[in-house]
Amino acid sequence: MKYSLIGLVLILMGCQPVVQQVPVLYYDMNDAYIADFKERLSSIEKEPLVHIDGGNRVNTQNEQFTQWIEQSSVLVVNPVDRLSVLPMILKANQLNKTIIFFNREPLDEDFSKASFAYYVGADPFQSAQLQTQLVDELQDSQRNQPLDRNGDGMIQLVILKGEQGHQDAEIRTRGVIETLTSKGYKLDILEVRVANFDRTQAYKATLDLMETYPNMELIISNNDAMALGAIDALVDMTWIQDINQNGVIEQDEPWFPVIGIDGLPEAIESMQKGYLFGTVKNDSEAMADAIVQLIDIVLNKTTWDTFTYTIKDRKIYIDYILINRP
Amino acid sequence: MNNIIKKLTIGQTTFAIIVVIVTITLTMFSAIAYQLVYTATDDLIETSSKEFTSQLILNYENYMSGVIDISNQIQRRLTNLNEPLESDTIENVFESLIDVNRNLRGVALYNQQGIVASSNIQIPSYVDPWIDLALSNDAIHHFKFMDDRLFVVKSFYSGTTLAQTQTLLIELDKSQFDAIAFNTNLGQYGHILLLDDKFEPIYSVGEYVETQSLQVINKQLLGMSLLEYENQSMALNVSTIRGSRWMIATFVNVNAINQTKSELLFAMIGIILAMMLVVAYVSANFSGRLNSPMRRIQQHIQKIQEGNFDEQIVMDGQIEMVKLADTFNTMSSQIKQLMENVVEEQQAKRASTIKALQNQINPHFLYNTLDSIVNLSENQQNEDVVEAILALSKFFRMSISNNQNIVPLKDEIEHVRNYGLIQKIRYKRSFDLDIDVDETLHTIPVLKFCLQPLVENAIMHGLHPDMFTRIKISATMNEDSISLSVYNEGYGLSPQKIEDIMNVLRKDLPTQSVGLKNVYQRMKLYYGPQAHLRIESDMDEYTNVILTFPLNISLEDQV
Repeated sequence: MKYSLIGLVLILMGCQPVVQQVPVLYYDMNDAYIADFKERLSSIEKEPLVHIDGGNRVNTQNEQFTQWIEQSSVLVVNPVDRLSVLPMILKANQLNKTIIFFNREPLDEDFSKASFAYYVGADPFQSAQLQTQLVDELQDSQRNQPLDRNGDGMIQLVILKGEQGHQDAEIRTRGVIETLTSKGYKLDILEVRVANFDRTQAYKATLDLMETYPNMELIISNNDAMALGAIDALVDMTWIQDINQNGVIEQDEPWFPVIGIDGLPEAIESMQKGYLFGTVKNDSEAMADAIVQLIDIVLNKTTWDTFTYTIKDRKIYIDYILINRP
Repeated sequence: MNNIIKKLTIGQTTFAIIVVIVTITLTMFSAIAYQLVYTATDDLIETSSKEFTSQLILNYENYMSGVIDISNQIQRRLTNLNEPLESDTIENVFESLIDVNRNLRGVALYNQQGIVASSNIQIPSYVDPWIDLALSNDAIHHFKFMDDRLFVVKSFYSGTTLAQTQTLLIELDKSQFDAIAFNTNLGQYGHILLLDDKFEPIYSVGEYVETQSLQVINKQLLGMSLLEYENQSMALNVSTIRGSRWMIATFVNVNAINQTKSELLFAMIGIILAMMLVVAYVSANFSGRLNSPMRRIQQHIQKIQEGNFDEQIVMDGQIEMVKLADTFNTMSSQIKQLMENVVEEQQAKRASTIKALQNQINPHFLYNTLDSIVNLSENQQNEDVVEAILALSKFFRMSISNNQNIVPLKDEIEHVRNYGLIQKIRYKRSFDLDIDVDETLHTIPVLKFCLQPLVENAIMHGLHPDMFTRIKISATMNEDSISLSVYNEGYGLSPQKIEDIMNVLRKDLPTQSVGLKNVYQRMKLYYGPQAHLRIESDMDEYTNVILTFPLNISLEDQV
């Protein structure tokens, strides 16, 4: 009788996974970027990861967090709201657990309270800086039309902004303006138009902007989706025109410069056909790799000696990659 | 254990087994049921309090995102203005928005230096540090409560030629915020607490004890738990509100739900006890039904042991018991019948034996014989006298001395030979008794006095007055029986006469022929149906009476 009870307990315990699973809490798997990132993470296959969808709800993610922190010594968290991570950090301190944040950076005042926490992400300001490098190349390129079309010594600029108040949108917008200014460009910012990272909204906004500002010379977008929306509008209004209909915009055909960020496959294709001028790619492969390496270190499977990324104040910023026309 | 069980009656064992099984089953069933309900109740508490919190958070988040939307809308309108903002410009913007959104009470705009550029409200002095705070972190909408007023402050970068950071202060209509949690009923001490990022309470709904609430919140930090709070069972949920730096803690009084758990426990214990009482009663009753007939049968057996066969068991109830009692009654009456039969048989045997004896020492026979002896002695036939007296004395010695009913064949032959001698003297040797029995058969046990009456009948009825008659006794061995025959040459009997005689014998009718009937009765008494008496005859030729005894009775068997 006693033995059968022990046996039963053993069987029940056997249902628990023997290998420790590391939970990865995503803010929202409906986000194409996150879904793609999940694929990259699971393709590394070094750690048994559990992928958990927060459904874009802070409360849901908090519940998932409290459930998993009991079971795992390390949690990978992509916060739904970067402003709301303080209780997670304190809870992890209380239980001596490690959190690896990624993609959305906690506030420094919160992050500094953590006993064991890391952040893996990209610096949105760097993406803006790389966008200005594209402006430099545009300036130098041997096009039939110069960047300063009206020759007034200033660039009539429109910025397609993601969301008002969105960290990336704010920093990218501000970074582009400040970097261009510091590089000595004279800017005539016609408008900073919010299009919520959305292609259709960007398309409508651009149609409107073309009408309002016929003297517009450059569109810088906070992401590729809005850049593609802008190109849709420009093609519709024949600001960009494939006259010989060979599917490619050549040097002598009507063209208008648009710069994006993200490196979406469709954006890269558009760029190769001569529509989009260039984009900046988030190196999610490296980001996933860095996260897995960090997990290994936290679980004492490897040491810092083999870590291949630069870490400063427990934060790892993965460089953006510049992609422009060949 | 086994010894204990052995000492119990069937009824007690049945009772014990039923009670034990029912108790175990009932207890296990109840434990499982209670466990299920207990878990379900906890799940219910957990899910309902989570659900409530989740809905509440959603409402706050909707409110916040509404406010942030308005703020972003204002910022967007202000972002693209190239000129330094004029107060009437912001008022225009504000006026256009307030028409759409009743939530707004007022707006103020600060320039990069923190100086009010435009305002349509009286700005209290406590606002100033918030402006610095907003400038230091322009990524956040800072929500602030003060003097029962609700503000939101946000610095933003206007990406125009102006390229500077401005700060927007919006006062909100707090009543809309209050309305979110206004009508919630969380029970005694149930409350909602909003805390800032320093874990300082900034807003509350419901009665609470601040130090205690803060203590449990600081301990829990996130998630859901059940706890005791001011002697009340509480479900505590701690989470965060998106878009703000706020935390939200909900304390839901779950005493009522918890109480049902203990009520259920008591109810279940009550049901178990009640059911066990019922089961105990029923099984006691049942085992009694099993036990009491057993006891009655046992008592009855005791009476039978004491020799009382007259009482019958009257049984009702279980069909097996009734059947058992019936069988028992039948059995005891059969035993009684058998015993009576035995007694009767014994009496009959005794009576018939006495009768046989009486026949042997029939006074007429003695008188006649003595008379014959007197005649012999008158005629000086001394040798014959001696022979006769010797035969007579042997005859009587044998009749009286031996009280056994079964004797070896040679004794019986000796007896009948003596009889024959006596009768020969009496009947002046007008017959001859010829005994033809093989010596090997001399030890075979036969019924005592079985031949003499037949020889007597042969002499009485068979003798021809003018002729010399032969009477022949012979014995034949069959497979499992011995046949003795007494044959005489005489008048013979008609078949009708034989039939009449056999009828008299079989049906025990009164008759003059006492001797034959007595032989027949004793044969049947001692040997049963295996013994036969047969009469063969041919008119004017012969009569032969054949007795057949089974061999399975020995001399020692006789009673």
